[in-house]
Amino acid sequence: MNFRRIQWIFLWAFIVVDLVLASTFFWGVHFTPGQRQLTQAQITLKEMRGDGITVPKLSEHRQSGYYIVARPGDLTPGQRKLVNQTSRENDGQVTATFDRPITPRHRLPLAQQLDFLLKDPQRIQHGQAYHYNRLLSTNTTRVYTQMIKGEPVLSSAGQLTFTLNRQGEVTGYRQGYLTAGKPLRPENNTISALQAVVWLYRHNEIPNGTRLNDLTYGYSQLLTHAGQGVYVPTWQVSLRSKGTPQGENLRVNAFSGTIIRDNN
Amino acid sequence: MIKRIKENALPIALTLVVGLSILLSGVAWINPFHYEHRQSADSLATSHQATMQTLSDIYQPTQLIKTQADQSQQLLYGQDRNPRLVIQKQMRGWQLRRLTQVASRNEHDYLQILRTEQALVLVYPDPVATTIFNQTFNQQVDPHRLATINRIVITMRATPRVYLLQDRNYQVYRLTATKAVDWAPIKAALAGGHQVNVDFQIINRHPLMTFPHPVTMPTYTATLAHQNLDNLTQTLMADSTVAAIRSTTKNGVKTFTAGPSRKLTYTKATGQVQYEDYRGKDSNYSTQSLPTHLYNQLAATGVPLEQIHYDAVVPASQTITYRSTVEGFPIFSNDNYGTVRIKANNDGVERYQLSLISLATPLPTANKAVTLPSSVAILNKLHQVGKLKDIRGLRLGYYWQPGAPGKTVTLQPAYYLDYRGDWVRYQDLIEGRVNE
Repeated sequence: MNFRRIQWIFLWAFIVVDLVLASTFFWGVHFTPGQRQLTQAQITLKEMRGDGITVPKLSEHRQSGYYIVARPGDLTPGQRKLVNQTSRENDGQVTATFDRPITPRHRLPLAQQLDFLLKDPQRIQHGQAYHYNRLLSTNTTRVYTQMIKGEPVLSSAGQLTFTLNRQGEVTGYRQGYLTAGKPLRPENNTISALQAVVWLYRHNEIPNGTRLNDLTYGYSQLLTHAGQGVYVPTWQVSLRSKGTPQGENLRVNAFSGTIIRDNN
Repeated sequence: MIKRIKENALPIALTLVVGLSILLSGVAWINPFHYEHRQSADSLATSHQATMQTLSDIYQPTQLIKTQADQSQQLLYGQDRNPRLVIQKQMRGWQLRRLTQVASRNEHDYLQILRTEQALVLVYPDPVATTIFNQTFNQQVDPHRLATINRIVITMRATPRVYLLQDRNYQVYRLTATKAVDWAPIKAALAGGHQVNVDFQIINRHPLMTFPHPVTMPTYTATLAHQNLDNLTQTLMADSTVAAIRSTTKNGVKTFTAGPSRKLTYTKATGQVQYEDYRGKDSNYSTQSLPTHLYNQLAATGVPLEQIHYDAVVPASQTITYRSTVEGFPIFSNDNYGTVRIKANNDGVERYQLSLISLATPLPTANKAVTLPSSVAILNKLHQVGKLKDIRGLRLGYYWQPGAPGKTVTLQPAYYLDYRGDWVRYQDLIEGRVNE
């Protein structure tokens, strides 16, 4: 065996070694994005996609909020003085039907008409306290909410919901009015939107094949104590199963991360 | 030239491939993570539930004191914006540098720094490992120089100085901000709420926060949360090595066993749970790693942690107590409600002591405020009955008084004293209801 032949053998041997090393290297690079250290929440999201659940992009940013007391305000005395409507009361909330429905007009969009309506104390009580919420509204409702510490009230006790008929006319509204008191405890951190969804999924609250719509952060009533409501920061998730037109809302207490069963 | 290359083609090619293989193996050597990643995702997926409260939420300073220009000091509570949280969030953005030792083994210097005028004092209930402080406040203090921190003094200047105080040996280190910070959010958060006059004193060689005047404190009410016993036994005891969990009941005490090494007892009358895991093999945790390890154990219990914070550490037995608080004040209960105590496995046994009952939702309260005597009066009284010498700590806390059975709790303000290693209510100590 001459020296030249040994050189050839070494050459081929090293080419093989290089190919093996290079292939593992490129293979490694190729798979690196998928192999990044995943957090618990990200793994759960992966599982959810595996179950056919469609999830929007969810923030990992934690919010902050308060335990706060709110008392239902009495709308009855003022309601009698309002014009262009007949109203009745149920559970402290008012349901009113307009004598003449409000029709959308070319020059005056509905949103603007409703804004005028809310500013008119002869037609709606405390109208200025409510702010439009797109995420809570549907094809047949326009939801305006009161605000607690800058966040919308998710319970109907603090909402004004206009009802629309098929022609897109506003036929009436339902109103609940709250007077918020002082916070019961200082401001504290809450869970993130992502943690709320992970909690719901881990506790089998999200059926396979559902679509999650945007999450809303706000306040909802957790319990009633001595005639007052205790409100907590809440993540509201709207779910819609495939093939069903009506959605369902789930609420998670953003302090404790547990579900709020009493939906209202 | 070309001819020479042609003649030496083989050695040149050989040199190239050898060089390439050295390069490639070098890369593989530097980046070994390519090879070890594949299992991690699967193994993590099976681990226990996600926790809502982070390490920083649990290991927070629980009290905030403001020192005026005349060195008078007030404990702050009841501010809606939660200044402790605002300070923590702001400090995370501060660049604090130049760690310098400014005092050591000198009670007088220590008290002087605690009373620095125009400053804020954040107080931990017990020493916290410096690595935990670093994580909470996003700083880089060397734990080899200062291992634990009890108090943080922040001067309210445009470019603040931050003093880190360790009660043990009266060590004080100073950090200096590298540039001016924004005080507006903190100053806004300090507004409103309540203030209590306080004074730091050294009693029995322990720095204590005392109350020179009688204090009037509100009472609080809250609903209770009851944890499910079966869920707890499952989370603590069940894993792939356990075939079955057996249970027996005797005299109102339910005992669960899993294999020869794991035992959980539940006392129905008090809701208390004791859990022991005989591991056989010891594992020792350092001062810096113990809090993180026990936080992970705590999170795995599934106990609601929303109102629970770090309260005390016993380094010798590697035990940490986590306690419910209200507005930063510790809540004490004879039946350990809302309290979790975990001992790491330093002697072959991992031990948990907890309660199925914890604080849930705060309720509006109609109860009147309670006025407590000054701490001077109570220390005098303790001196009279000859018990002052055994006092190692004094705290304004809350007593857990069960309200409507199983539904609510009323929290009543009271003085608590560290008497021979246990926190006892002043009233109980004076009236002889404490076991000697």
